[in-house]
Amino acid sequence: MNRIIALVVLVILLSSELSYSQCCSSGSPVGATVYVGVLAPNNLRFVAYYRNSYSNTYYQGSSKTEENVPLKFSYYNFTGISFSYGITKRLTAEIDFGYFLNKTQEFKYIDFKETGYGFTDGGVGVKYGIFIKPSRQIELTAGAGFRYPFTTKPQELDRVQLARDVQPSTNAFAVNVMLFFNKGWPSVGIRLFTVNRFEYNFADKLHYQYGSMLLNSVFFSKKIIPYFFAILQVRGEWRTHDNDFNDIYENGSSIRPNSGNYLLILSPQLSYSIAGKWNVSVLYDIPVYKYYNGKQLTPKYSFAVSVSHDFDLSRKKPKINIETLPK
Amino acid sequence: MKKYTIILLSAFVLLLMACSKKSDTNGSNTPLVFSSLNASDSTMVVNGLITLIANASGDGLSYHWTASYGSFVGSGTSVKWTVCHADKFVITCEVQDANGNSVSKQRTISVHE
Repeated sequence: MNRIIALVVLVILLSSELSYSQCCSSGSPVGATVYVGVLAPNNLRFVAYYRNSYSNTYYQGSSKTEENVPLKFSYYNFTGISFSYGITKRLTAEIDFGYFLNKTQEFKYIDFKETGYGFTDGGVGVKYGIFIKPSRQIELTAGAGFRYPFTTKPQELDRVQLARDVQPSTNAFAVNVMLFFNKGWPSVGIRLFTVNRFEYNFADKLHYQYGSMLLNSVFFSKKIIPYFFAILQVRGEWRTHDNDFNDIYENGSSIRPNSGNYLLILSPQLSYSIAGKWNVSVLYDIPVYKYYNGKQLTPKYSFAVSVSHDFDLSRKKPKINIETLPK
Repeated sequence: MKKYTIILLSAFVLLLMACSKKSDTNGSNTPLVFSSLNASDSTMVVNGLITLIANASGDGLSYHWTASYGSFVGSGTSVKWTVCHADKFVITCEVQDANGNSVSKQRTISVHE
């Protein structure tokens, strides 16, 4: 069950970070160290995921708009992997990175389509279990980490720089903190858990700074049949404006007007545990409220598929394995 | 003994060749001159399209276009550029010749609603 929760939150957090709007998008600060909850000592968790998103609707404030919008549509196909390792019973380290198979936008008024592809930023982080009571299924875990670009140079085609909206990487560093709380009621097969995460982006070499992000999620999980779980998430995402320190407005502001937003998203998810070792999960994002600063392209649909597996690398099996306790 | 002398001599000649000053690979020495970076207009409406032309002379020139925001269409001496919101934007073109020399020029474009 804990593995399923970790996978659920992983996929959903990745989805939130990848559902950035476009024109003017806040880039592609993909992923983060998103495993939730600490692992048992010497346990390694591997997660691979795929995500697809398609956008063709512009929003201005909380309303749709079609007035003078530049893009016909945009889409991306993204894949990534994460590794997490339990160092002690309270401390877990994690790394992740991803790859855009493509990140494309097609213009409306001119016959032009541009595509970027490649590695996103990598992530490194640690988590510490502040309060863990397996018997009562309570866990409070805090985490911190940073993200780093594999290159600080924007992607180019024929020596022409691609637009920010299709860049696979932010080309900048970021730091993040996370707080996770979980409570289970095994007698009725229900869990509630929350994830709160804040990320701060630094400016890149071109003096462009993506906005900060605050993410608050509440999850409700219910076992439907053995090894099969339904999860419903309510997620709030708040992003601040981007700043471009190259082009300062006459009033002295560096804020990019078409950046930053607030989203409230409902995200149903199904997870299945294969033979108690592999977990497969799918999710679909349904935005229920959107507010965008300026005018921005917003996702029409977005879905993700993820697979995870836990490896017990300890030579000696623990006497009590929390994962196998009767629910 | 004669064989070793030839080998040593050959190695010495190769070393000299490797250390010698690199000559112009194109056999040409036209200096790089980046005379102008022209824009079809200095102002543009949001989502409009502006043409930028780099006028330069030299050997084996390549043109490197960058901007803090917006999209370029095309490549080489002439490109078009568009952006989705109003602001002042700086567009940079760096011209590089076959010898690795480079010169940059910038143009500021004001974009309005």
